[in-house]
Amino acid sequence: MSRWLRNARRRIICLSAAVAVPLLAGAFTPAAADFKVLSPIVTKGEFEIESAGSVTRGRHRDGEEHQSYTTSLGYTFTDFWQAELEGELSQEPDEGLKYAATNFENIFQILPQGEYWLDLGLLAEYSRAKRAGANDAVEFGPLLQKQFGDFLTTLNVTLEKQIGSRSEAGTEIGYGFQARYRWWPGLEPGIEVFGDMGEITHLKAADRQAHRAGPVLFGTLRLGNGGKIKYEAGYLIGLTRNTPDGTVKFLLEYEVAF
Amino acid sequence: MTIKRCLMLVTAAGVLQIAAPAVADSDLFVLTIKDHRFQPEVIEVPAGQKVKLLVRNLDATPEEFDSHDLNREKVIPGGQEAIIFIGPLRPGAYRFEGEFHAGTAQGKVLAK
Repeated sequence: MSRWLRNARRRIICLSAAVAVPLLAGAFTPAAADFKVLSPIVTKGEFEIESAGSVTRGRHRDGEEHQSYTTSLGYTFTDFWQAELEGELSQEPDEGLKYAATNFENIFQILPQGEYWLDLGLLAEYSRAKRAGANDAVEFGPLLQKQFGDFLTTLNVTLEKQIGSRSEAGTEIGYGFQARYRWWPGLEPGIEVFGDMGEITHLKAADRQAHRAGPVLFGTLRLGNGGKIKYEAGYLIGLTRNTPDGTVKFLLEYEVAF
Repeated sequence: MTIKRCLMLVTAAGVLQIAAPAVADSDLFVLTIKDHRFQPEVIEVPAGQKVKLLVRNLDATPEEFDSHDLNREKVIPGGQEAIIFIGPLRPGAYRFEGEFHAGTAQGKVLAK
């Protein structure tokens, strides 16, 4: 059996397990949007601690401010599988900050980086809701990346399905897109666009969908011991009447490879 | 429906992998890590085409091939090797380093 077939079989088995285990586990709620575009590329042996958050202000369905913060631990076990365990805090209108969900995120790198025209990975995430009345959820979809000269572009398409007795029947589709100029490691300017379009079989009317876009700064600072600090900071502007006017997002990550 | 679509995605990925052209063996370039240094330190590759770097780590300790210029990052355990695909590159110099021993492990890809 060729090496490619063996690797492909291992990848499909791991991916199937990551999707099937949450499905079999029973009850499931959609995670709050964390406004993070995921790369399909993973580095074996890399450990990371990440903190991310977002605050939305202005025009919103309920006219109030929303906040969401996540802290996660991740490790890349093989050349193609990265797993991350994430705790999520969120604040809904008229409520304090509460623990909202525990997320188990898996990224599977399907193609070796740079071998083909497009780099491809898959996301499989299970979100265990902690808020009363909320449902658990599974989320999965392709992670695509392509470099054009000094510009690195990444597209995530995500399908999210609530699971549980009170869950909504449909599967929601959303996307995240990032284009960044690879200027120098400490500072890479770029843009991000995020959208939620509704159920995949009954997309919402365009003005009822949520789309936001804006400038984001990215960077990596080396610590000299093999460790790195990565950051992202940006401001996303609401593009439809069903999207908050503004969203501030940030991400801070420490990673080290062994 | 969602499981079916997931399977379709996995199948599509397989088709994409099979259908895409592989890099020819003639485009293979060997880079060695020894005593926490790259050998050669400057490696010439053809511009405008995809090439394959075979990085052999002859040291007992791991090293991370890291290059912002090439957008590549790969940990190579001690005594092992890894394949890194790069390009197509515009003519020019692209720096890389060994993240774990950056004081000595420095190198450059020259695309001509």
